[in-house]
Amino acid sequence: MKILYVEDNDDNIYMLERRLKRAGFDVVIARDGAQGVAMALAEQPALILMDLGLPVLDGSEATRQIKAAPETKHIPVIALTSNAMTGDREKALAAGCDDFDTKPVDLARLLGKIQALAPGGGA
Amino acid sequence: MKLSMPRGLFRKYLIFLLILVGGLLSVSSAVELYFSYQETKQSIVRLERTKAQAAASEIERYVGQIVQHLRSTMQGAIDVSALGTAGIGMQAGGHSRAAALAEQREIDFLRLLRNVPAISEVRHLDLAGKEQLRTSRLALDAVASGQDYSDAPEFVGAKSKKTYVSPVYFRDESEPFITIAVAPDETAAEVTAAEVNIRAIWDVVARIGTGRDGNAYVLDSTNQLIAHPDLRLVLAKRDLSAAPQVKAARAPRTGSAQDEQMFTIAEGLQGGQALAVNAAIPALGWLVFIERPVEDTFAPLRAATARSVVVLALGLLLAILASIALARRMVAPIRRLQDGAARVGSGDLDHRIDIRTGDELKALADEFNRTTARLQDSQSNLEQKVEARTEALTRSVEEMHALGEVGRAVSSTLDLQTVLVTIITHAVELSKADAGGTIYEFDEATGVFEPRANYRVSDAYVRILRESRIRLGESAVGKCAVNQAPYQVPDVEKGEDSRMRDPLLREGVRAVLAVPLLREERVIGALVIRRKVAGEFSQSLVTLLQNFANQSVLAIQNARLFREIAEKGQQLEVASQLKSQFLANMSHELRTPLNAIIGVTEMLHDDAVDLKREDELEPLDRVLRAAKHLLALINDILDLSKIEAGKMDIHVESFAIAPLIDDVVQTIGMMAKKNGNTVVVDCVTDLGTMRADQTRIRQALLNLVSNANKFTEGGTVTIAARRVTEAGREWVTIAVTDTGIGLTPQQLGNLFQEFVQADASTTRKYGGTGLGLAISRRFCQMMGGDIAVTSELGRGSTFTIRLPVEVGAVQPATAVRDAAAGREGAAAPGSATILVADDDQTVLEVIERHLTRDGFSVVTARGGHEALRLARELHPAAITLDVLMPDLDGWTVLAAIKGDPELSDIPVILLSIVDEKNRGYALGATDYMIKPIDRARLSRMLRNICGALGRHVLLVDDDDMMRRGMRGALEQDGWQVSEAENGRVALARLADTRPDIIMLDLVMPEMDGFEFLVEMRSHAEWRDVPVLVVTAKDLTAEERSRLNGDVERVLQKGGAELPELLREIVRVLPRSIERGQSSKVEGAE
Repeated sequence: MKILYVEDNDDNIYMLERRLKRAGFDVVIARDGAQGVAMALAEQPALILMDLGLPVLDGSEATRQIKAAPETKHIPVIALTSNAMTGDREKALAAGCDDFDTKPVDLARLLGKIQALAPGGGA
Repeated sequence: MKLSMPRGLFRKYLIFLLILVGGLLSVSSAVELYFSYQETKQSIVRLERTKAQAAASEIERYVGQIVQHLRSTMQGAIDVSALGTAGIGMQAGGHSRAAALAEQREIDFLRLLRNVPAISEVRHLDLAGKEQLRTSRLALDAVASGQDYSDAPEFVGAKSKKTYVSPVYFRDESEPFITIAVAPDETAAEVTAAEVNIRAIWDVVARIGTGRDGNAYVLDSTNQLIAHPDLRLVLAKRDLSAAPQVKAARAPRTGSAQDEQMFTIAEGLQGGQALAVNAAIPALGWLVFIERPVEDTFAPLRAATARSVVVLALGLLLAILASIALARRMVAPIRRLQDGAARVGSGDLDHRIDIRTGDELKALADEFNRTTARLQDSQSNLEQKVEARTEALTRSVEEMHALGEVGRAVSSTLDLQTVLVTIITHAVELSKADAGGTIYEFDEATGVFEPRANYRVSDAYVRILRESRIRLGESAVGKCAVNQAPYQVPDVEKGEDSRMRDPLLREGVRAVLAVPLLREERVIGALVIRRKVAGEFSQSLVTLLQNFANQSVLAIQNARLFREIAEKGQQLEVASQLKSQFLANMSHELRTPLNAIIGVTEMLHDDAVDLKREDELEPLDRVLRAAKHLLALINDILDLSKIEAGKMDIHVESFAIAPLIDDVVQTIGMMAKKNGNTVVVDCVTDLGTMRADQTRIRQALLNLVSNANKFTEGGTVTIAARRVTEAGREWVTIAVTDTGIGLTPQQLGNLFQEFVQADASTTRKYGGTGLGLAISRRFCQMMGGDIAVTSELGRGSTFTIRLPVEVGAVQPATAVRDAAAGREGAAAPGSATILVADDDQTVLEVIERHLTRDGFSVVTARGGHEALRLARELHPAAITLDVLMPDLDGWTVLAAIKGDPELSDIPVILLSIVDEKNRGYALGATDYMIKPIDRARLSRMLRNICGALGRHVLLVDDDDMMRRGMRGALEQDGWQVSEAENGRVALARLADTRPDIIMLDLVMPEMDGFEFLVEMRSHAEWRDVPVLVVTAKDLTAEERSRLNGDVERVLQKGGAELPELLREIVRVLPRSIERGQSSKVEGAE
């Protein structure tokens, strides 16, 4: 199962990409919002992990575009943010995110959410 | 008040009156005088003339008598001749008759001579003029002498004019004579001529008395003087034909002028001017003159004239006086009028004009007085009005003033008592409340009106008020509150009976006015004023007091608000302090695990390198980087929280600017190279020095330069420093310009806000905390400067630090000396350099002087930051560190030093008034000294530190395993180890060889750690051997305090894994020895 991880922080990419791969997922990385939108269309992942604070095009806007495009609108999007304030959750959901999780990532919890949105994935 | 009166009217009146009265008087006097003069003169002339006429008629009569005598004599002869004539025929007879006639004549003549003594001779002339008879007294009579007198004037005269009088002639030169000849009638041809002595006339003339020097005289027809009292003149036979009076008399006369010309004034016969009056004797052709000297004649006239003149003069004098008086009289009332008008005009309305002339002037004055009175009335009326208005105005001004002051008090002071006293004072003063006033505050909790401010109220009554505890509805105060409207008791005596009544009456209060203090329709108090006189309070007063009440409400409200705000502020301050404290604590707390993270990761990293496990290197690097970022963040937050809490101090010192910039450039060098940037320094050569906090400026500049480098790749970072003078002040500007990504205007806007980077994503890309700029800017602002920024997106940015060359005026001399000392110390090689850090200048100086004398090279730092900087720069042999320093405390500095691999080997001695040795030792301090410092001890300590360090450790522990483990670890680290299983053995070991340090377990058989310590410290030679306690015992506070001061450090067994403890021991041991070394020296002495 392919997951698109849209994130600009190297350390985070390094960490989460590895852990997701160990969990049995195919992971593709996009480093900004625009790239994320493009890759969502091109890669047609089973799920998108979207960091909200992104260069070029931020996560909310990227999600909005993904959810607006008929080719990608069905792809579930989980928003990831380091800002654990409540407002972010609403902002993410308003943009069309299907779920929301905070950094630092609790992998078990995240996997649970992935499982819920894209059943059958992972090893 | 003397008014200057125009004299015009008076002068005019005077002149007019003088001309009128004086003129009339003069004219009448003149006329009078003239006529009286004329009359008097005429009467005098008349008198004299009468005299003259009398004389003339007497002379005439005298001559007439003589003529009569002559005629009568002649008549006798005629009679005789008539007889003879009757007998014409009888010529013969005629002879006899002629004889008779002659005889008769002779007889007659003789008789004549006898009868008339004046006749001296008589002659009879016949028809032919022949003398027929002459009878004379002086000569012999002659009869028919025949002497021919036919040509004689007497004969001719008599023949033609019957009577002839001859001119006067003198005989014997003394006797005057005239000849009178008469003819009987025309028919008769005979003439009788007589010589008459006219001496008798002289008598007549002499008899005429005319005044003192007057006299009469007579002129004959030939104008010869024939009679005069002075015979000499007569005998001089003067012919007076030429004399004017004679000419006048002889002049033919016209009828009318007759009388007037009857006198002549001419030179008198006896000299001098004389009045001459004449009377003619026509029959004789003679003139009788009466002559008087003019002076004499007119003497009465002159007297009269003089009298008249005197009278006139008197009259004129009187006229002048009268005129003056009259003019005065006429002018005086006018003057008084004018005077009065002037006085009234100048405002003296009480003045009345007093004129009693009873005429129009009086009427005018009366009218004037009436007008003045009316004016006075209206003026006093007006004055009253003005006074009333002024009073009202004054009152309003006073009220305004009072309200203004009250308002000022309300707005300027938050002391409620002051404001309320101000209000009640003004309220009482303005309302003239003689029994004072009170402001009550209503306590809602108790429902009682508490008197808050009193004015003009006796202390006793204040006490009563306070004790009365007036409630709502009670007394005027409570009633006004219930009504929420002013309430007054016009007469307390007649008012209703309340419990306040008697106290009021005892105070002499008769009237009370209470005004509620309302705030949003809630009563918060009341303002009361009291009077000693019964009576209603006016509405204006009530309104005024309501104003004061409103002000009181404001004041109370303000005070309450202020109280709230103050409380809130206090809470906030506490909260802020707590926050700062929390942040400071948290930073420390955060650092501790972070230290472990960084340390362990570095350890793993080293292991991975050693074991060639390359794949582990990357994740470890990532962890390290993230951890260090977190550390930087924490440090920044700590700085920021200190700035926020106002605990960040600025330490002003004098330093050269150029070296600072060079230093920063050097620091940034590596980073710049990594990003492919060129660092360009563009400084003027004479940048000189400035006085500021060098550390802060370095920090800020480093921040800017590293930012510039961070956001620029393959470009240029330029540092340009200048000195400029603006507004009379010298500034230093240091501009950092990059050719990097630049900023959008929006980014520029919140650039300096904490935690805000130009873009949230830049944090990810470029790292950094987002606090650096904010902190840097705060530093600059604290120094009176700022950081400004200009930028163009994609082109780069310029950040400019701008600072005054002279920051503040804080202890310039000492600071300069500090810096100098620092440089000096740093430059002195050979001797060991000690860095002394303290915020107290005095302490610095004392320690510096002392240590310098003891042969140390000393560098001073006035704060934690400076200490850190100098520590890095100088790498001193040892550091003495004050714990409580405002900018960066000793704990932090110590931690930083020990956390810095390059610095961690520097022994640090903490100096503090706070006794927190354990904390100090825990943080790695070599020693801990309590102020005041024992300088000798400090010197000994430092000497030992600067000397060689020992490596001999004595392990005292009853646990074999523990001893073995520790020995292994220590020996591995190069220590020489000896062991003892209890205190007693340890003492024996001590006696053998003196270790550099003792590691002591507390719980042991035979002699435990505590006992051992007591025993050991009792021996002077061992007293200073440092002791490190390693125990599994959970120490009580009491035990800790027993250990305190006796041991260098307490490590807990069982709290951590053994290897960890061992590592810790290995790490801690050398420092403990450092301390012990110094103690040993002390003990040896």
